[in-house]
Amino acid sequence: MNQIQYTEENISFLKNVFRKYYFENNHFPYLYSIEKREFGYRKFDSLVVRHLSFKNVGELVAELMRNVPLDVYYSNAYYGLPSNPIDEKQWEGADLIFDIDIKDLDLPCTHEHTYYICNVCGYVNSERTLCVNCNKGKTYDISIPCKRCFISIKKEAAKLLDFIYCDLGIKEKFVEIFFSGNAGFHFHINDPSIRILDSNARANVTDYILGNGFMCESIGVRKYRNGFVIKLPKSGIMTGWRQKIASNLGINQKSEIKLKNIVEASGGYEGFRNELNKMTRKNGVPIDGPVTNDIHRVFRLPGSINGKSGLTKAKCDDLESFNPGNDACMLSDSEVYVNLKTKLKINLKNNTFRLDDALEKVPSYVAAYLICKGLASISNAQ
Amino acid sequence: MVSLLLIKSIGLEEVSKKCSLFEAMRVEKFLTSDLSNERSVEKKRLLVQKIFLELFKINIDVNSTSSICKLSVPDYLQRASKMYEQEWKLINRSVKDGYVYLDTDETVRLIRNELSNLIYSRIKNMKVIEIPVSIKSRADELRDKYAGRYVYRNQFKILEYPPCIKHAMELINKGENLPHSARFMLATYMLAIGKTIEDVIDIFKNSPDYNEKVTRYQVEHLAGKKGSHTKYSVPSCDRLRSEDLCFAIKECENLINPIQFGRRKII
Repeated sequence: MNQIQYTEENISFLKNVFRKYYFENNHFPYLYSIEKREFGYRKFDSLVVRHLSFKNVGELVAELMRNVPLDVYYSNAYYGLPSNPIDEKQWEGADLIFDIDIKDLDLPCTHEHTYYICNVCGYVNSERTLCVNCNKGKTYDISIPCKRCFISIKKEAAKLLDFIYCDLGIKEKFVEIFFSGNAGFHFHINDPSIRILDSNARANVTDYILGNGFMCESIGVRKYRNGFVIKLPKSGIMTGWRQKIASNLGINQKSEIKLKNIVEASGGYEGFRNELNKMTRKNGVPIDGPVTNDIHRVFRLPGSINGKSGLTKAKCDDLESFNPGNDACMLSDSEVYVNLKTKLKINLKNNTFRLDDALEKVPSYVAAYLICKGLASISNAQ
Repeated sequence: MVSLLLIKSIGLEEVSKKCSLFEAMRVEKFLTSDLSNERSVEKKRLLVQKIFLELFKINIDVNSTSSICKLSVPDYLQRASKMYEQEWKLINRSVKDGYVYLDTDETVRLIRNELSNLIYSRIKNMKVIEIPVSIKSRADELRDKYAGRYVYRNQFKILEYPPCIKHAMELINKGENLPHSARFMLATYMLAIGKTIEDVIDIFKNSPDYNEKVTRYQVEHLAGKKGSHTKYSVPSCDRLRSEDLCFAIKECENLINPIQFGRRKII
C-alpha cells in the first residue's frame, strides 16, 4: 500500500496530470464485460471505494474525470450484480491472474536503488531505521527498479509463460500480459474453461507454478522401511514437473539404477527430498500466491495510472522488447519545478535525468514519478 | 433397497454421507476392475467416456497404446482440489499441453467424491411413503446407538496453538501488518476454537491499521453473522503452505488443517 501522505499542492498537481491523461486516453481497450465487473478506486487520502459498477467505458471515464483517483481497480470476477455487497454479487466466474514482482526476486542490486522514507516527516533516510530527521517516524522502503531488475523479472515472466502455454495448455489468445505500472507484470487469463475454477483449484495452480509440494514419489522414489525403493510412475516422468526434475537429474524412464545412485548420493530419502525442494523452488516462478487464489479480488485496471509511480498499467505485446520507463510513461511533458529529497538518476521516455540539486525543473511525467515515490514534492518556483 | 430404506429411516445426515461414500467406493472397485480387465482399448474408451461424460460431464480419452487416461487441466483441478492427499496436487501429476494423464484406477478414484455426492443426493431426494415396521424399529435402535457419535463439535480443547497461528500472533503483537490471508487464517482459527467475536476483534487491536468498525464487520462476516451467513472454515495446511503462512514443526506431520493441532478430546 502507498504510505505517502500527499500535501495539497502535490495532490493538486497529480490530479491535474492524471485527469489530463484520462481525458486524452479515454478508452480502455483491454476491459471486457465492463457491466459485469466490480470497480473500485483509492483516493489520495488512501481511502478505498469499492462495489462500483459501470454500464460502459463512458460512465467509467466520467467517474475518473470527476474524482481523479490515485489508483483504479476492477474485479477479475464477473458478477450478475457487481455493485451489490460481496455475498449478493452473483459470482459467475473470474479471470485467472498471475502477478510477479521484482521485490520477490531478492536481487542483489535492490539496496542500490532502495530509499527509506519516514512515514511521519517524509525524510529520505539511508537505511531502515527510526527516522534520523524527526526521531519519531518509522521508515518504509521504496525502490526505483533498474535495468538489471527488469532483465531478471522478464526471465521469470518467460518461465511463467512456459508453464501457461506448455503445461496448462492455455491458448495465446486467452493470455494478456501487462506491466503493473511499478515493478512487476500481471498475466490475465480469460479462458472460459478456467474462469469457473474456485479458489482451491487456483491454489493448486499456484503451487504448480511456485514449485510447492512436489513429492519424491512423483519421480519414482518411494519411502520403504528405513530406506527407499525406486518405482517409476506408470504415467511416466517425461511430462510436467516430473520432466523438469528428470532433466535436472539427467534421468529418463529407463534410468532406475541411475536414480537409485542419485538418491543414495543425496543421503537417502530425506536427503533427496531436501534436494528436490531446492530444485523445485529454483525452477518455479515466485508468483504472488494469494493474488492468484483470490476469486473476488480487485486488480489494477489495465490502462490506468499506478499511484505508486505515475506510470500506466500498459499492455506488453512483446515482453522482450518492452521498456517500462518508455512504453508505460504516458503523462504530460510540460515542465514543472520539484523540490527533491535526495539526489538520484532516472530514465524515463528514453531520457536520462541526473537530479543533483534540491530544486529541479523536470517534465511533468518525471515530477509525477518522483512525487508518487515520495522522493520529491511540487515547488511553487516559476 | 433395504439398506437405502434403513439409511433414510435413520435420518442422520452423517450416516447418509458415510454410506454414500462406502457405496461410491464399492462402485469404484467394480469400475476399476472392469476397466483393468477390459483388453480392448476401444471398449475401454467407450466405457470411460460414457460413464464420465454422462454422469459427471467430464471428457476423458484413453490412449490407444498405453491405456493411460487423459483429461483437461480444469476438469482435473475441479475434482483433485477437493482431495487432501499430496499426490493429487497438480504438481505431482503428469501434465502436458493442458492435459493431465492418469492410470485407470486414479481416474476412477478422481470421481469418487462426485459419485458419493450423487448417491447422497439420491438418498436425500428419496420419497418414502411408508417404512415397514421391521425396518423402522431397527433404524430407531441404530439411531439411538450412533446419534451420540456425531455430536463431536466442541468436545475438544486446544492445548497449544499451531506454529502458523503462533507466528501470526507474534507479528501482530509486535505491531506488524499482517497480510489479508494471515488475518483470515487467524480470525477463522480463533472463531473455530470457540473464541467470541469480541475476543477475536481484541487480537487485531495491535494492528497498525486497526479500525474497529472494519474489523468487527469482517470478523462477524467470517463468523457467519453477516452477509450470506456462511461460517468460514480455517484454511487447510495445504492452502497455508501455498500462501507462505505455514511454519510447520514435527508435530504438524499428517495434519490437514491447523485446527487439528494440539487438540485433546474432553472426556
